[in-house]
Parts: sequence; C-alpha cells; structure tokens
Amino acid sequence: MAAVLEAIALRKTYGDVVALHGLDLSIEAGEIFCLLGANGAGKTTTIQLFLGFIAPSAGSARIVGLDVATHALQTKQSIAYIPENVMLYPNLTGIENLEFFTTLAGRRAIGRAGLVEILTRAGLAADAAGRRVSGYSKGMRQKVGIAMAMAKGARALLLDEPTSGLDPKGSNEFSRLLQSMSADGVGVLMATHDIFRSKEIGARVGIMKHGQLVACMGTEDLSHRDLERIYLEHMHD
Amino acid sequence: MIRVVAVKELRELLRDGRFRLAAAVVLGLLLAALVFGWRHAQAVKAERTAAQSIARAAWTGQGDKNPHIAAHYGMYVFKPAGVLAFVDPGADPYLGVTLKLEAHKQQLPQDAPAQDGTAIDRFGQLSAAAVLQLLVPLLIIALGFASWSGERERGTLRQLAATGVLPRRLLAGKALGLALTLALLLVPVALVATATVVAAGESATAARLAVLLGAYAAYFGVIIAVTLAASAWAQSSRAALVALLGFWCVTTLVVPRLASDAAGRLLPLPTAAALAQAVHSTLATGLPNGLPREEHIDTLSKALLAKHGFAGAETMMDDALLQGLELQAEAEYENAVFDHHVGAVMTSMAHQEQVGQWAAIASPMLAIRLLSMALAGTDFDHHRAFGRQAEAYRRGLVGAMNDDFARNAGAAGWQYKANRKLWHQAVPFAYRPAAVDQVLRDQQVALAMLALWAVGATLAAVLVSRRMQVL
Amino acid sequence: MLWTVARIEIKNLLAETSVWLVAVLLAAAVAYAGWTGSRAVAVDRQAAVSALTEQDSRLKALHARMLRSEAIGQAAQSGDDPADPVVVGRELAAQLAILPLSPLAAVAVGQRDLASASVRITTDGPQGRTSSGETALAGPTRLMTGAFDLAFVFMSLLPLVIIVLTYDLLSSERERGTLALVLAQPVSLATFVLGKALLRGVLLCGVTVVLAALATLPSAPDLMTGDGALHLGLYVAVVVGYALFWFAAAVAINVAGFSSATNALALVGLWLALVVVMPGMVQVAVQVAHPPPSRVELVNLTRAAASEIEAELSALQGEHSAAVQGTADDSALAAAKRIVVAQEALEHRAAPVMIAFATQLAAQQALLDTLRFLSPAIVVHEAMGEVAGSGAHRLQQFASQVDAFQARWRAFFFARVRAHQRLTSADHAALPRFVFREEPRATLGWRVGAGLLGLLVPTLLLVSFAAIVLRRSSRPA
Repeated sequence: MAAVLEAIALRKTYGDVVALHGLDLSIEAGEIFCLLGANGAGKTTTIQLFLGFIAPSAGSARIVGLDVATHALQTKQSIAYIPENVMLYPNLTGIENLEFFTTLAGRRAIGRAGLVEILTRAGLAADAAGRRVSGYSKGMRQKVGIAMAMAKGARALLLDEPTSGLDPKGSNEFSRLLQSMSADGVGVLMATHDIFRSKEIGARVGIMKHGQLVACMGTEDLSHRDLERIYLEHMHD
Repeated sequence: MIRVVAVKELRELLRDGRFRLAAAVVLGLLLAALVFGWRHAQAVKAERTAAQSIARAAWTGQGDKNPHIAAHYGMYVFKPAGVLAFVDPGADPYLGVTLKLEAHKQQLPQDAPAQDGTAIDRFGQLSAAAVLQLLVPLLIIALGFASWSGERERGTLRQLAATGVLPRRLLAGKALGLALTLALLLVPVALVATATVVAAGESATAARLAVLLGAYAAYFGVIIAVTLAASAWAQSSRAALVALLGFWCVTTLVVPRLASDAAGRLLPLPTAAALAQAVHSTLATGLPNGLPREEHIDTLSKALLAKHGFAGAETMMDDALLQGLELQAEAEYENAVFDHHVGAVMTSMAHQEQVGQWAAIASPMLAIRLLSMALAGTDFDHHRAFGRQAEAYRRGLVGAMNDDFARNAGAAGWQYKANRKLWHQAVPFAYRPAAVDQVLRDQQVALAMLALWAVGATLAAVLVSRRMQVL
Repeated sequence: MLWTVARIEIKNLLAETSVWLVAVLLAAAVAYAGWTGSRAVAVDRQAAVSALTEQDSRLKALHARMLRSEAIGQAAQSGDDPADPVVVGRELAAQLAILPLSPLAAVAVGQRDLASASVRITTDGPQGRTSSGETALAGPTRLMTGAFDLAFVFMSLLPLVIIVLTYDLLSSERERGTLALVLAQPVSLATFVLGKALLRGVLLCGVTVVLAALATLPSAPDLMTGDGALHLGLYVAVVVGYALFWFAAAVAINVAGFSSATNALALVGLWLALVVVMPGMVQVAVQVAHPPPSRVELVNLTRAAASEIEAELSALQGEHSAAVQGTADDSALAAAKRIVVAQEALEHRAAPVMIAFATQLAAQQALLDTLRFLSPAIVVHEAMGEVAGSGAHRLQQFASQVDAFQARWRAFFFARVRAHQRLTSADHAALPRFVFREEPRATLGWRVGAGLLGLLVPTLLLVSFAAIVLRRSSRPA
C-alpha cells in the first residue's frame, strides 16, 4: 500500500539549532502513527513541515507522494489538521464554520444537510451545531475539527496534541472517531503525550528525542507498562 | 512592596526596544521644538523691543505741534511675545501684535502672524506644548496599555495574586513605574529648560515655568491613571489599546473642536464690518438707552468743568481752556461707546474661552492646553490684558494732551504748539503680564477640571484594579 | 474562493458591534461637519449679499445726488461732494471686493477665516487697505483649534476609523488560531488576504463615497452652478484615494506579521507622523526657507516715511477742503493733485516691503506645493482647500486681482485729478466694478490631479510591498 505521509531525510534547523535531524518516516493509508516525546523533541516541527507552515532545511515531506514544498496547495487538498485547540470564528455557528472551511477546501457540493449530518457523525448534536462557537467547550471545537477532516475527505490527518486538556470521556470519544476514520483508510499522524491513549488506538508508536526518531514499534504485542518503560528509558540521557 | 513592583515595571519598560524607539522619537521632537521655539522667541523679542524703541523715538521726535494733533498722530505699541512662548506659542500666531494708540479711536491689535502664512500652518505648530499634550500621552498609552491585561494574558497575574499583594499596592507600583520611566525621559529636559530661563534672568518667568511643569505632571498623572484603569478593565490587551486610542482621539481631536464650535455657536460674534458700523453709528447718535450724543457730551463736559472748579464760569474762561475740556469730554464719550461695543465683543470672546474651560470636563487635554497657554502668557486673557492696559494708556495719553491744550494754549488756541518736553512727559508704555496667582484665578475652572480628572481617573483605576478578574 | 473568504468576512464584520459603533460615529461626525459647514456658508453668503445690496443702494444714491447737483449746477459740501474725485474715490464710492463662495465651500473653512475674503477698495494705498470683514469675528482659540469641518473629519478622523477597522485584519486570525486552520486548506495566504482585503476595501470605498457625497447634500443647489460637478468629483476622488492609502497601509502592516497591538501602535504612529509631525516639519521648512518680512518693521517703516510726507499731506488736505468750500474750483483741484502726488510718494516707500510679502508668500506656497507629497495628509488638506475654494491659491488670485482692480480704481480717479476734472454723472455710471475671475478649471484640475497622484503612488507602493511579502510567505505562525 502507498504511503500517504512520508518524510525523507527531513531536516529543519534554526540557525545553529537543529530541530529535526533527517527524519525518515512513512505512514500508510489506514494507519495511525503516534509521535511521543518530551516538549521540544521535534513533534510539532514535524507536523508543521507536513503542513508546509515551515520550509524544510533539507529532505522532503510528502503527502500522497507529492512534495509539500513544491506542491503547497495540492497537498493540502488531501490533509486535515487538528491542533491542540481547534480555533474557530466565535461569531459564527458550528455549521457556518464548517461550511466556510469545507468550501475553502473545495467541497462545495455537500450542502447544509450534509454538513449537519457530518457534525452529528463527529458527535456534535444538531442543536449545538446551530449555535455560535463562542459558547463551545474545547471538546465541541475538537469535534468540529474532526468534522472538517471528514467533510474534506482528507486522506491524511495531522494532529498536534488534540486530546490534551480533554476530560477522559471526551478523550475517549475523540479516539473512537480517529479509529473510525482510520478504518475508512485515512492515515493519521498524531503528536501526543498520552502513552495510554497511543497504545489504545495506535498501530505504531514513535519516540522522538532531540529531533530524532529514537524508537519505532508496533503496539499490539506491548502492554501499557512495557510502553511506558521503554518511553522512560529513552528519556534518560 | 510598591517599590519592588515599580522597579520591575521600570526594568521591563527600559528593556523594551519599542519603548526605546518611541522615547527617542518623542525626546528628539521635544528637544527640537524647544530649541526652535527658544530661538524664535528670542528673535521675536529682539524685533519687538527694537520696534518699540523706534516707535518711541517717532513719538518723542515728532516736532512741535498742537497736543491734540499729536494725540491724532498717536503712538504704536507692540505686544511682547508671551513669557514662555518658546514652550507654548498658544494662540499668539492668531493674535494681533501691533496696536496704534490715537485720539478718537480704539483700535484692535493688528498683524497677527498667521495672516502671512500658508495653509500648512493650520495643522498647528509642532511646539514643545504640542509634543507634551499630544505625543507624550500616546507614549504613556503605548507603555501602559498591557500593564494589567498583558500580565493576565501571560498568566503572571495569577502568580502575583497568589503572593497576596494588595491590588492597590500593585497599582501604585505600576503607576510609579510608568511615572519613573516618563520622568527619566522628561525631567532632564525640564531641568535644562528651567536653567535656560533662570540664566536669562527672568525669575517671574521661572515661577510660571514651575507651575507649568506641575500642571503637566498632573496631566500625565491623569493619563497614567486612565491607562491603568483601561488596562485592568479591558478583556484583552488589544481591547485596552483600542479603547485608549479612542480616548486619546476623542479628547485631543474631537472635543477641542466641538468645544470651540459650540462656544462660537453659543456666543456668536458680529462681523468686523458690523462692529465697525455699530461703533460708527453709535458715535454719531448716542449710546442705546443713553442720552443722545450732544447731551451726553454736554453732561460730561459739565462734570469736567465742575471737577476743575469752573462750573458756571464758562463765559469768563478763555476759549482754549474750554475747547481743551470739550475735547476731553468728547474723548470720554467715545471711550464710553468703545467700552460698550468693543467691550461687548471682548467679553463674548472671553466667555467663549470660558466655555472651553468647562468643556475640559470631557477632555483633560483641553484643561492642560488652556492652563499651558495661560501660564505661557499666550492665551486670550493675556492678549485682552495687553489691550486693556494699552487702552488705559491711550486714554491717559489723550487726556494728558487735551489737558495740556486746555492749560497752556491760551490765546493761541489751535495755533498753540507743544514741544518735546511734553512728548517726553508721557512715560513709555510697558505691558505688565499678570502674576501667577492671577493667571491661576483666571483659569480656576480649568484647574478644577484637571483636578477632577485626576481624582476621577485615580478612583477609577483603584476601583477597577480591585475588582479585576485574575484569569 | 475569494468569494468564500469575502462572505465569511461579511458575517464576521456584521457580527462585530465595534464595527457598527465606529461606523455610526463616523457618520455622525460627517453629518455634523456637513451641517455646520453649510450653515456657516449660508451665513457668510447672506452677509456678502447684504453688503453688496447696501453698496448698490449707496452707489445709486450717490449717482442720483450727482445728477441732482448737475441739474442745479451747484457743488455740494466739501467731503460730501459727488463731483470731487478725491472724496468719491477715497470714501463715497468705496468698492467692496468680495471673493465669491465656491459651490463646495462647506467642505473646508481653509484660510477663509484668516485671509480677508472681502476688501474695501479705495484710492488709499494697499497698506492702508482694510479688510471689510464680512465674515464673523472668531476667537483666537477657535482659529487655533480649527473648525470641525469635513476636511478635518476626512483628513484626521477617517484614517483613525480605518485603522480601528483593519489593524487586526490578519493578525487577529493568527492570534485566534483560525489562520492555521485556514492555511491547512488548499488556500494560499495571498488569496485569503486578498479576499478579506478586497471586501473591506470595496465596503470602505462605498461607505466613503456615500458619506462624502451625502455630506454635501445641504450644498446641493450650489453644486448645480459653475464648476460644482467638477469640484464634487475631485473632492470625492480625493477622499476615496486617501481612504485607500490608509487601508493599504493597514493591510501592509498586517502582512508584515506583527501582533495586533504592535499593528495598532504602528498605524497610530504612522498617523501621528503623517498628520501631526510631518506637517509641523514642513511648516518649519517653509518658514525657514522663505521667511515673511516683519509686519512690525513694516509699521515703523511706513510710519517714518509717512511722517516725512505727513506734514505736507495734512497741510494739503486742509488746503483742499478749504478750497473746495470756497468757490475757487481750480485751487481745490490743484491741491487734490498734490495730495495724489504725496500719497504716491508715500506708497512708493512701502512698495518694496509689500512686494516682499507677496513674493515670500508665493515662494512659501510654491515650496509647499512640492513638499505636500511628503504626507498624504498635507495633500488632502491642500486639495480640500482647493475644491472648497478656500485654498491658498484661490485666495492668492483674489489678492492679486484686488491689487489689479485697485490700480484701475486709482487710475480712474487720479487721471481726473491730474487733469483737473470734476466727476460727471457719466463718470459715476462708468465706475469700475470688481468681478472675480476664477482660474481656468484645467489649472485647478491639474493641481488636484497631481495631489491625487500623490495619494495613489504611496498606495501602490504599499500594495506592492504587501504583494511581495505575501508571495514569499505562507506561514500562519
């Protein structure tokens, strides 16, 4: 199967500081890949490189085989991004926000009813979807973010600590949604601190340290405890 | 505790590159305005002193002539520039400078400098006063708008609150920090300006300057308090900044124009032509609700005769004496007419200025602008005082000439000629600006408004900071 | 794509209470300024009309008196004799020269409240010429503060309104975090900014045009006259050009990527630099480059010259009136002739200074015409004065036409004095009349057009700066 997200010798430096040392990574359709690591390990840099928000110093980030640096707009057709806080226009309703971003993504044909249906699938009640976003909780905004990814028909999902600050129930719901999307063939790259959650949903886990991917493993045959042990071992200098 | 906060604020501000840039710009403009203003003021002073002595020489050297003809010939006086015009030129560019004192006429000062300018002058001069009134408040706003809200956004406010410091201590510290920063910038300039004035040997001016500096300090205090109150009250730094810029725009741009517009509407002035026409026709006929011209002059001349002990003895007097007294009676009648018409216009103008003082309730800038002009001696009150003193001098001069005619003409009558001895007897006119306490009395409404702003803004800052949300 | 961005922008704008508040405040300021301006103009116009009516009846009465005295064949009293060229030229037939109000006079008071837009013309020399003062006196603080006219509203307040509405055009999206989500879509930053800016720009232009045009409604009847339509067009173009300049400045600073607060401070700093500081500096430059002569010294100069001639002059005037009162017409006219000669001698002395005033002022204005391009605010200030007919150029033309007319006026009377002629009723019918000739409309059009260019060029520079920055970056961070 072809990789939807692919990093080839991806490197990012800020002056003398190396944020990312030649990362090689490949995530296939339907796969969930969790990036673990301390703050400043290079997780967010990796995601921003895939988004094209920053330009790589060397190597390339590819989405469905296209280089982000040279195909900035085309690659964005295929991805969706959910940051730690999905920030929306507070004066617009959830539906209006979703409509706006979906139209920007070039999916005009869905229509209001379709959008409401997608929001419902993402777990947002229809009446809530018609209210202004200024009154939304963080969990509700993250659901709109998922809905944006669904409506867009993204083939790859980039998530930057999307569950931090969510309560366990919200976090659990969010994981379910991710799993269902990956079952539909979406490749997911998620930066997170949540070892437990990564094990629950993740097919693969990567541990980053000082801009390098120091470990990469499947989680099916590991227990939570094993995973935490490995993680902490890597955190020791 | 307050000191600790103040020092922290000061340190933060001094390390801010944006502040350093803005402060350098404001300081540069202020210094340039002061130097330029000083040089201009000195040049004006030299020019008017020279002109005054030439005018005096023209009076004393006018040759032998009849004293009443000499009164017609008259004398020019020139208004000295305001004592602190280099700090605040105020309304001086729009006020007349030269005034002719002559018999039968009360002139208004002519030749306002603005008449010989281009439209660019209407933007207002970039004087030290303009820098202090417009730019420094903006600097304070730029420094202080995030004082509270920024701490809240960064989360440091939570930590401050957790230390158990009283909000008003924090507030005092922040205010002190801002004030110290500003003082670092302005106090050296103020010292140099004071030293220059003292070195020029004008101690009365130094007293005015001291009060002026105090007034500006109070004004800056108001702006600091308003800034801190808005910063504590606003939801975000951005909102605080926009609200403060709105405040600045309304108080410095909109309110002054609306106030002067309202003053002009409430107290309309006649056209110059109408005023001249009114004076002309009243001189010819008589004051409204008064005696007709001839009877009025008759009454006045009877009173003069009585005063000089000649009542009832007209027939025995020589013609010249009678004529001299009649000339004086006519002059007194004219004076009454001038007092009536010109006095009314001047009073209306003074009332318009008074409206400005009351309007300061909506703008502290208006209060400081009026106070600054008044203390610099460049406001309408000083102009009016100059006009009054010159008019009193004119009346004295004309009276002295008529008196000489009456006493000494004798049989020669209109052929009688006085000489330079008489011209020299008239002491040169010297304008005496009001003392500081008089200026402050004239500006009591503006002072009260500034005080009101100081109290109100401080109270607002204290109340808002007490109720401020930490999160 | 642009339309999608623009549509969300409309929704966002309409939901913002501050937008409505600011728009209403601006509309109120414009309405107030338009209203007061048109009222002041109406008062001035009325004063001019009544002054001219009064003058007409005065001249008619004089003419009638002349006819009567010709019929009787007897001279009137000295000082009141309609046949005496000295008295008639100096006093009885004194002419008012009034600068007519332009169709758009309500837009800007300009220099009208300072410069004498009405002058009483007699045979006395230019330095003895007095403003006839057909406009209301104004207190010094009022002159110093300036009027709350449309020129002020558009030059000073409109930029601030634009700043409030656009300082966080892009920075707010960045700070709110929405920009990252937008840019995760297949949309370039340039498209997004263009969509937002285009909508606001179009709205801004629309609102400005409507407000600027509505504000002149009270002057609508006058706009149908003369060059009213041309002035209106230029005025609206200047206001819109100026609005676009500020809008471009706001967009450019947003694109540069600072925080909202920094944007606001930078824009207000720019406002201060262009509307307050730069004009102050230009003023100093103009004054230093071409300082006007001293009025104070002029007073003493004319005084000294006068006192030399005065003795002679007053003796002559006494002789003249004595002679007129008597029957000897010849000696009266001879005396009159000598008065004229003495008067011309006096004026000859003062002429260099009077010329210096005029040349320095013209030089100042010429320099200002160049330096105005340093700040769009100065450009607008000058242009507003031009379209309102209260600008320096028109007032200068008025002054020089008055000078020319006065020369004609004096020549008319002095020729008769020199020729020992008394005035006849035919002379009265042929008295010169002052009529102000407007400059060719193309001249005004070019000057204001150059000003428009002075607005357009910096606007285009700002736009191209924004375009270059946008092309280079697509970062939301």
